[in-house]
Amino acid sequence: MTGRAARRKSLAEWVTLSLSLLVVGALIVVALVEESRRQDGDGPPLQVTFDTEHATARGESFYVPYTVVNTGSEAISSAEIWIDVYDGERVVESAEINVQFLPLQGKQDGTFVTTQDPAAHALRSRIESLQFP
Amino acid sequence: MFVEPRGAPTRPRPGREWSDEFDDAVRGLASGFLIGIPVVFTVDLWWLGDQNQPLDSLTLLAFSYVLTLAAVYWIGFRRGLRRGWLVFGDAIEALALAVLALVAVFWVLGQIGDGQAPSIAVGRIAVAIAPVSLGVAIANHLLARDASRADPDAGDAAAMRLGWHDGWRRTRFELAASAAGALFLCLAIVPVDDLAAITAEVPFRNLPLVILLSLLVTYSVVFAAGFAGETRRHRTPGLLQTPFAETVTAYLIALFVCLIVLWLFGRIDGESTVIEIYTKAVLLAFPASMAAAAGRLAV
Repeated sequence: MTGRAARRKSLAEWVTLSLSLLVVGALIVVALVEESRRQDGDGPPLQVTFDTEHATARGESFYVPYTVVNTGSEAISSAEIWIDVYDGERVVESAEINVQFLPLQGKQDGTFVTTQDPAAHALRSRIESLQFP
Repeated sequence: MFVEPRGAPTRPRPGREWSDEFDDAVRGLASGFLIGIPVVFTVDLWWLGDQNQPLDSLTLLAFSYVLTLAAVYWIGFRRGLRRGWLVFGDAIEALALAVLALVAVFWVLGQIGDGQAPSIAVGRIAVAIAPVSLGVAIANHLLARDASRADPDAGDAAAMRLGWHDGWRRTRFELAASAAGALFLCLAIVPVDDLAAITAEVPFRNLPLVILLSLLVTYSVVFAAGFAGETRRHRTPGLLQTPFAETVTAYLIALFVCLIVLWLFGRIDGESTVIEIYTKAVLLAFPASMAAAAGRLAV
């Protein structure tokens, strides 16, 4: 090696390499754990929950916070969900919500506006359609 | 084992292995930010990452490693000719630096670690990692370690025209270069209106963190990354040549350029609220301030 000097890796470089392996390894492990969780998922693709305790009344309308969570095994590019307001077994109001770009375990918060008092009625959701990327 | 040209300053220097190692890492990070952040600053890329399956993310990660390996082999971010398995190690380090840079950016923008699932973080990092890790891997060529606007070549036209040792004229030239760098980037981002979607996605409470990260990265790029005659820059007597003053001034210039471009393209107008203007300007100034730092280093 004429004109060149050779040397060994320093302790600092070893430490940097070890930390780098740790960082990249952690990313790979998280991806593998998420893949395993995705393959185990066999429940409904979407879960809608209503937070009626934190509903607020403004004028004649009630604002009910809701959360849509993608509990399925695939990302969803768009979903149409119907929300029905029940008085006993009778549907007294219905409305449609649209959710877009919901990744795996991704959640979308929103507010459902109804003229029916959520404390005295039941809110239920049903999936109308799903689209995948 | 790796080799260095005989007679070249040994790196890491004996007794300064840790600081040299830190210097190389910061240089790599700064280069990664410069190349990668404009790419990361597109909301379509975020949504693409959201839709990624974990195995797709791993495939992208492997692909990015191969690209980074090639760039590290030919260019790299360390001094000296690296051989054998050291090249593979350097590529891992470049990839890890890119992961850390992306975690910092996405965390500051409220896009990971703010209630999002781990799969979202993995997907977004995987989609965005290639440009950032390539930026790390080409740090040696992006801005040469020993070439410098603070130490220009004897025949450098800009230096001769401006009288390089005139502190005030040099300062004006550098400020103009900052504005030009910021303008270059703003003209690439503002017309496509990704900013509106990003504005909706980033929590308002995170904006001070965005400002802090902008200042930290631009300081690192110009003063702490070992680019372009850093030592001389620290002791140059120009009007705004203290590191803190230059960093803040360049950031304010980038912010001003952002406001002008936002107004020119109708993204803000007389009816926009102060909060809307503040949000858009701070978010756009994030990549623009890095381009402004690159502009200062390029002249």
